[in-house]
Amino acid sequence: MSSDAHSDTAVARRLHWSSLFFGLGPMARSALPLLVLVAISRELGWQFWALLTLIPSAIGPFVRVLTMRYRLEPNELVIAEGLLSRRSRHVPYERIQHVELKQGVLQRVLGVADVKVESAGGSETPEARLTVLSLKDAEDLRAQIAARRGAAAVPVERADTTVLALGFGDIVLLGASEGRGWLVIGAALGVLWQFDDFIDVEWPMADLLTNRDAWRGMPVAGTFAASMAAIVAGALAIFLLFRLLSIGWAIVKLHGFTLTREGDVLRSRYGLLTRFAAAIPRHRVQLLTIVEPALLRWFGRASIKVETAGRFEADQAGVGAQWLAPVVGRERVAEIVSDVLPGLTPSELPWQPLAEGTAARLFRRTTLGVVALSGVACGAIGWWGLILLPPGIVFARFAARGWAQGYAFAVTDDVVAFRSGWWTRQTSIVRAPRIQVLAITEDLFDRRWGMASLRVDTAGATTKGHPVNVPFLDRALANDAFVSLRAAAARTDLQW
Amino acid sequence: MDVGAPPARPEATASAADSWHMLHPNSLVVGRLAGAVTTGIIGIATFGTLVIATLGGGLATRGLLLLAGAGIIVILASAVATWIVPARRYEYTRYRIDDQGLLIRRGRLFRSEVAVLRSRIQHTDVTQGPIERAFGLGTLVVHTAGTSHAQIQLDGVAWDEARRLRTDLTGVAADDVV
Repeated sequence: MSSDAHSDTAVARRLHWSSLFFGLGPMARSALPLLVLVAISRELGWQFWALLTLIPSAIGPFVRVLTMRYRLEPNELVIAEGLLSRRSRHVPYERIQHVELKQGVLQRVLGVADVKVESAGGSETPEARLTVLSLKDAEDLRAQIAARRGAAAVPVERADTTVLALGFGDIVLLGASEGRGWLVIGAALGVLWQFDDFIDVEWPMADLLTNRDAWRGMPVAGTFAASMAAIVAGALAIFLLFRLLSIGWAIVKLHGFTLTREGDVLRSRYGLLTRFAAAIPRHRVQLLTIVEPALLRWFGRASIKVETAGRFEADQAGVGAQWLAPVVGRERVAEIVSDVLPGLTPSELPWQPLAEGTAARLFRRTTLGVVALSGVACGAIGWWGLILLPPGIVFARFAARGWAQGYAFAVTDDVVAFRSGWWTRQTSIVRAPRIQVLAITEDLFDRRWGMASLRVDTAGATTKGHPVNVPFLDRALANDAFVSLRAAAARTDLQW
Repeated sequence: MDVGAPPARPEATASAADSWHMLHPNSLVVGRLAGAVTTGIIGIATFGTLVIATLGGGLATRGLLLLAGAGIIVILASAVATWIVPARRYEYTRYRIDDQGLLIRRGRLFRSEVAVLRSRIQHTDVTQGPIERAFGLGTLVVHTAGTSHAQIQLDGVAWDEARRLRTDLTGVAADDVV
């Protein structure tokens, strides 16, 4: 491809040579270990044939990587690829929601980064993905995009200001409160599973589960009390182990987390092995959620997450750029929120509790669950199953009150906010220009209690997020909020 | 049963142009047809399986009872799906377009009201399937950038009405920059 004559910057650039490996996708990349196995094994086993089946799926990406070129035009990023059928994609700078750089361990060694450019489309995949660029090219690309977008909008202050830098203690605290231990276990099992054929892995647990004889050798506790204590101690040990693993996960994932602001753009960088760098233009934030798990609350801290319209390819841990501030002291929450949503202080919103009967409805609902559970238990162990009822009902009483107190709702002519949760409290805030669709629903029970639910749909909401879906609202209040929010949203043009 | 007026809510709009509209009467017929076809297929499948099972088991009394029970359930279910559900759906669905956008109300037991704002509409489709075509109906599909409500459908309106609604919704829309 020849370089364009439009401007001196519109030079077509290629990907880094290592793209031939990284750009192939996980399918083809997984062929490499197979290749090694084939090379070292004496006869042609199944590995060889498996390798053959992978070849067709690798051709496409291979050609793509070899032919891909990108160039920075004055107003848009142009990415061209293809040999037989050519495709060029033009992404105007002003549509770009954010740019993300990701570096795996291998990529860090080679000094390259995976670059994702997201614009506001409902699609799951990024608008443009350059796997991989040399770090210099990647930073260059990002700087260019930021500069050009900035030139089109308001003049930006160039200086970086550090908004947040996480200390080791905060990261440990976050790991302990997040409970992501299962992620580590899952990953470890996955690795073991992969090598099961090659290394003779013992599966002691599986043996215990499937082979009754395996239980024979286990010491049997003499008394009921002793076995109960053993069960409780075991559960506690497993819980602690999971939390420890979760802390490990947090350290690996979030090591050296910093959030900086450069004009309108918020940048986060983090990761011990795999480095992430994400840039979110502040005015692209669709929904902001303050997450306060019990543990963080006790230490006077909170997390802040944001959703943007370009949907991230959620990496397995679900972090993405959405973690604006993983751990931040409560006294700084207001400051960071008003940094993202200017002029807004969460505590000063006109918060109101949900409808009168909320606690009663939650109590009934939970009690019903407890009764069903004890019914199932009765089916399994006879009348002893009823033993679940008293503690269950006590729990329902406390939980219903806790949940009801956790709920709160606020609406002004510019903002709608929703808080929920007993142990983990989450507060979501949406500005009127970000409202996409409003819905109000009432089911049979709502009608009896004179309640309704209000749903506020925004762009790029994630399944794990905390959307503004407010249940148990007083019906009249829900209707008023619906009408006033609709008017407020209609007054404003959509802002990405 | 309070037929006619949709679940009321006081609102300060009076002009005839933005009053609440019902679906086209033909949508009732189409709804019943769709209900009959669906329950017909499920019913035949259930019944057929039971008949084969009973014959295989040598026509025991228990099998016959099961057969009779299944028959009754299938008839009841198809009655509900082809008679009551489409009728109530037709009766309780209302839509309206005003200067802010499109509003759709549905349901009686499970009531809902959805509001799509003009400036938030990404694009619209007007579609028509073969059965809809036979009855002169169309479906308006409004796409937004939302997540759970990325697509809002209004089916059971006349084809021309669907097209008119589309023009009305998108034609006047402010030229937003996406």
